[in-house]
Amino acid sequence: MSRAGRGGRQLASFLWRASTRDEVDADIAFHLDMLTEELVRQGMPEGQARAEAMRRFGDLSAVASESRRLADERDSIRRRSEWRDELGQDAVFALRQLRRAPGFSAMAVFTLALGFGATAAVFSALYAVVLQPLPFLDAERVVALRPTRKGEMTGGTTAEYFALVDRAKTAFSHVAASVETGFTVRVGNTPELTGGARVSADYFRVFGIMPLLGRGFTADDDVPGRDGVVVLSHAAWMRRHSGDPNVIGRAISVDGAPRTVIGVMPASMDFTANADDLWVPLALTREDALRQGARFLDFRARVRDEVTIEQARAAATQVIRSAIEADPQRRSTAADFGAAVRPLIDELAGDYRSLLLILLGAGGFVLLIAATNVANLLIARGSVRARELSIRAALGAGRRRLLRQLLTESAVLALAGTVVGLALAFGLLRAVLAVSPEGVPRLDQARVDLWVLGFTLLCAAGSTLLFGLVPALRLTGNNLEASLRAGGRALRGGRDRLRAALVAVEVALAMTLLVGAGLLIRSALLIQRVEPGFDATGVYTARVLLPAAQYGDPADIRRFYDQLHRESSQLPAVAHAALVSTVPLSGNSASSSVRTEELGPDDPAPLVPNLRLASPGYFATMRIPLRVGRDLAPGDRVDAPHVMVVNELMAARLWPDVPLRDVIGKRLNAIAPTMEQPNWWEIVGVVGNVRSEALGAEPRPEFYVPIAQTPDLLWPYIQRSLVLVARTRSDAIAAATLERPLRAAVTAIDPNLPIAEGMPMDDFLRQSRGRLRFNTLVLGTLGGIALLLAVIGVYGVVSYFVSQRTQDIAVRMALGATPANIWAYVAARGLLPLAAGVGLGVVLSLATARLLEAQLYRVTATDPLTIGATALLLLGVSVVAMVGPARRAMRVQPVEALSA
Amino acid sequence: MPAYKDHLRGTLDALVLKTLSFGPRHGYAIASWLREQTDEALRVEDGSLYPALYRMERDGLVDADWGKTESGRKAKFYRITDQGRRRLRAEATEFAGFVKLVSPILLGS
Repeated sequence: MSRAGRGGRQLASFLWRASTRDEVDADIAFHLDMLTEELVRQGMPEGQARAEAMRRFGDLSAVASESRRLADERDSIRRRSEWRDELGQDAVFALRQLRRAPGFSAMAVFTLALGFGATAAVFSALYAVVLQPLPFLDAERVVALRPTRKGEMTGGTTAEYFALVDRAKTAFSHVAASVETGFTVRVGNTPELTGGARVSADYFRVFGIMPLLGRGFTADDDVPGRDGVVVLSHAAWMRRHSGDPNVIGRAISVDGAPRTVIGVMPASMDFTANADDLWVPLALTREDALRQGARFLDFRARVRDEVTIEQARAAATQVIRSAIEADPQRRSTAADFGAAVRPLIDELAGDYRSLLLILLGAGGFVLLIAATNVANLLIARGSVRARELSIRAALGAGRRRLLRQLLTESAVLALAGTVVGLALAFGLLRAVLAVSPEGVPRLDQARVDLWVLGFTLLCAAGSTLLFGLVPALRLTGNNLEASLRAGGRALRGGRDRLRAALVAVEVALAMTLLVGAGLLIRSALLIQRVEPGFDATGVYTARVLLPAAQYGDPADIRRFYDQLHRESSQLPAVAHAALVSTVPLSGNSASSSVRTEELGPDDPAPLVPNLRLASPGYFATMRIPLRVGRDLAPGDRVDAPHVMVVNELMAARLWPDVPLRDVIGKRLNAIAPTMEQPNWWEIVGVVGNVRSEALGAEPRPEFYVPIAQTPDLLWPYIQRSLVLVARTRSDAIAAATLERPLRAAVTAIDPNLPIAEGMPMDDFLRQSRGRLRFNTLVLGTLGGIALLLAVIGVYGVVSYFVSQRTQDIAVRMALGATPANIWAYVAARGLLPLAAGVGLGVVLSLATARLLEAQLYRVTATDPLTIGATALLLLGVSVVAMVGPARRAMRVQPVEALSA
Repeated sequence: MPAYKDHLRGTLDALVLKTLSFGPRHGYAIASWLREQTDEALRVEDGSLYPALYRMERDGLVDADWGKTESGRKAKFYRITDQGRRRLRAEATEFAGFVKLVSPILLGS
């Protein structure tokens, strides 16, 4: 390509359209002129010749416009290929440059890799849990629909289900109700307890998933009496039936009754690790709907294509209110009710979304710090590069060309950083998975995949601009000729200031992260010291669930549990044994409103405490202290007067001015089937408070009623299920040693019963601390990386300063400066940006720590102790980082340095 | 008849490349040469030459520079590129094959 042609095209790129127009016009005009002249030579008069030439040429405007279009295409193709050529040259040149400075390159790549790796690992978790679509057709249209009462989400009633099915057709193409439940499945001789759901006919159609084998439920199955069928999940089919396709039509024992397998769902239905194992028809009836049912249903629905979520919510609200108005016995105002409609994925991700976003933000901070650090390294290298660049500029390279060259070098660094960073992310992700709290949905699906790669490349592109552009603009923007003459020193003053500013930013970002980590660490320490109100040491828990088929009669249930209580208490390894509906910190809870005797019929219930069904000996087993009165006793039988034990908090809330001993004998109406049938209980004891929801949550008012006096209607709702708790004879004996004897005790009474959720009580404590520990670990790691990078930044600035000012220092020493003077002179360079950074960091921490509030325990987000300690830590570590360069400064030999 | 039209365009391209294979020349010279060589039998309007030239320039078959004619006028001189030479060779081979195939049928032998 000739130089002139190249110059012409460069011009063309500025005046593009005009230039191809001129080019084509001139080309054609020349042709017409030549032809006209030729014709004149042949003897044609001038004017006629011109017309003849035009005629012979044909459609002038069509030819010209077609030619122009082609010329434009030609130019853009050439520009692109020229750009590619230069990019290739730049990349090769960049690689050569980086190889020439291996220390610098390794440092930059490592720093970036830390930033990219941290961000990529958090992003892959965020993607798996929150962003990754569910494996359904139009998954964003599958919603969880929850009735709300005064803004709080609750379960749905049978009446609401039928109302939604009948009258919400304009908003939802399918509505289904389901109840999560445990099942005892028996294949061969061993009963197994699994999780599943009872679902209405349209359940699978809501998800838009077709069965892999056989069929799903139809309206015909979803009827009492014809509901003896079961659909298996893919996982259950593989595990229990080894993927045998002949399983269809076979009968399996579910909760003691035979059910025919009619279908197997594909693996896409197992979208979380603890997804349902099997499904049976819910078989709700319209007759049930007439009796106002309990709020126990989950609704899932598919929103129609043309309907927005908000419209769907409005429609559901209207239907639910009309269902409540239609109830003749209603006690509540329909206007209090409404509906919450949100994509199923939001319901699944829950508050992990905000947690992961916070962590992603923290990863972003690390990335910013890394980018700032690399920018600093690049500026330091600028003094080496300035000379080379000014030579290239003198040889005719334009500013844009040099800028692009420098940015290409940054991009090569970023790309190398991405590769190393992804390897790092792979390791970090495995570490995150290893320490993650249980029950984060889909976290197990987190991978370093194409999405993560894409995200990281995006980060790389962004940070290339960030860390590459500022130094490059500076380097090419200054008077290059002057720097050629000064050998690079002309730029120094401004560069020092810029570097100091960058270090200040780094320190501020690191400070913010460290404050966050510090707040979490303080929370974790405080939680560790929290008294749960019970003693978990040596206590084993095991849930027992009685199938409806054999235990339909509440008398049978009472008899079974009574016998289990007696026999497990007599086991030689057991000191105390008891039964309870739910153990603290297990995530399960029940509650019931209570009414005092003084209350009028129209007064609202003063309190909705937690409710636990318990056997005698529960408080002894858990070492929950009895404050006054007595424990529940074997004499509190089904036909005896109803009694309850309350915790101190409940007594204090109901009767703030009454001494505890006078609470004994008071009566409360609770767990009443209707307003007309009160259920009075006499308080016989008061026990200590227990943190039953979470270690970080304050205790709630709570009451305990004897298992023998449990209202019959309650048993189906808790699936006739209780937890067996037992304490070892000595705290030194591990709780897990009780598993085998307890299992044997259950089997001795009924060989068909499995034990589910067998677990030492300590594990519940550990799980409750798990999430905070996870947050602390992740944010602490990110904070540590940030600290490291910031300190490297401070070190770099001071060290560079010393190397540039050797002569300066020598002069000072020659003039009699003491080592202390020199130290002060050098340290000032590092301390200034450090102090500015810490100041900025305090402001930034105060602004961002609020985001962490929900994760903290008994520490305010603006805790001055944490902020102060973090500032001291940063200052201390940075001062240590300055010692090396400072010592080098003090070793400067004046004579040598000055004569060099 | 699109196939025929395509063939004609291909032929025009090949003829232009052939001209340029003797040396660079401007559009008017190419047109004159075409007219002479075909005894004006190939009745193409002069104008249709230009889209052909610009298309071939876009496709890298020809290159061009502005220069001066003998009479001192500014004109755009087209040159054949290596890629253009290869194309010309391919067209010629293909045409020879076509003639060999068709002529016994049309002309008898």
